[in-house]
Amino acid sequence: MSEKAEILSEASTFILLALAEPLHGYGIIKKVEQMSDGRVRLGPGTLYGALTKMVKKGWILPLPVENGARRKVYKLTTVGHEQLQNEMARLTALIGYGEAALAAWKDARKDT
Amino acid sequence: MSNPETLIQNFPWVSWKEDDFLDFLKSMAAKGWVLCGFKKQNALMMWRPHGYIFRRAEPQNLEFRVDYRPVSKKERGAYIQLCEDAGWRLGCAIKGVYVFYTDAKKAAQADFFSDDQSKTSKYRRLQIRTMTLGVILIPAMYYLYYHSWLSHHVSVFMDSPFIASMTVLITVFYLYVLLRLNLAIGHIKNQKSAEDVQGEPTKNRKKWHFWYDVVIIISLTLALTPLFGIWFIPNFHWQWSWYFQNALFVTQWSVFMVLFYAWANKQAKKKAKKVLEET
Repeated sequence: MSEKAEILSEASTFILLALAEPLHGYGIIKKVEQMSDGRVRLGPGTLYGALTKMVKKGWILPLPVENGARRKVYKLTTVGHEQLQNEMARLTALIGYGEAALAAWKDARKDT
Repeated sequence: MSNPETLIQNFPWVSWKEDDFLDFLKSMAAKGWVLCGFKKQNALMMWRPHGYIFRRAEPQNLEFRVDYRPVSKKERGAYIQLCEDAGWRLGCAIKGVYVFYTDAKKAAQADFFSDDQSKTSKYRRLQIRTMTLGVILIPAMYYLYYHSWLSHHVSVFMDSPFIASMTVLITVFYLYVLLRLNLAIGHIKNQKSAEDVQGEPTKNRKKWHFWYDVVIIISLTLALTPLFGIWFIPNFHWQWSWYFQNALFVTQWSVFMVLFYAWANKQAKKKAKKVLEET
């Protein structure tokens, strides 16, 4: 896996998830809202900050725009894909620990 | 000049305390004046309250947000387009500071910043801007006044309590701005939840008066002046008369500047009030 695995914020995770297909900014907001059943509504300020940060890290790539088009379309890179996989692995592990701990807690309560 | 379509109002925008500014814009919108631009001002008068241009519209309940993004011209179009797509219209943009607005109902559903991290990183960017200015200006000032060829030949620089007091005052001011931005970040991090903040009425918010800032800056300057003399002025001999002269200059200049600022603000308010009454 990649050399540096970072813990992603909720906003960044959702943005990477939404970029399964190339999308422009507002497309990402809409898709994230759809995926989370309206729970996560990214603000434009938050989204733009996260996008510039991820472009700098090389996780996503703005596609070359035609002259006159103001909307930028972003694409997930292989590095970004690796980050997303790392994050998913981390979350799966976390869920495993959580379920084990909850089961142990349940057993302990049964005994007493 | 009856029934004008635009109106210019002055209001100071202080980077670490934008709530008052946002309340002001909101109240203007409720009166039927929507922010549409920034009045360019003379470079010498940049520190004066900034003039904002309002256009006449229906009285409406709008919510405003400030963002600071030092983006290039090429990036700016994409950024503004993204915000407009998401329903936030651009009010005005001044040197990387953008003011957006939208309907209050929409703002309650989806805010401009949706997490704390992006809110605090705005203040970090402002801190970096302040620091880049200070890192260049302050050492340059010390060099010019106390180590350069100029200072060795023009005795005014070395001996003048006025120059000494202004140097300390400017240094303290820069440090104070950085501190206040840090406190603003701390305030965002310590908010328990969004509900607590929204439930709190605006009037009960603790009022931090403009004069507190002035008093803190002046007293810090007075306290630090002796240290400054010891560290930076060669062959420095402590004298109470030197200190009192310094103190007098700092107080005099601060009061003068603040009074001028208040006067300019009052004139602008009077002018705007006249226009508002006419309509």
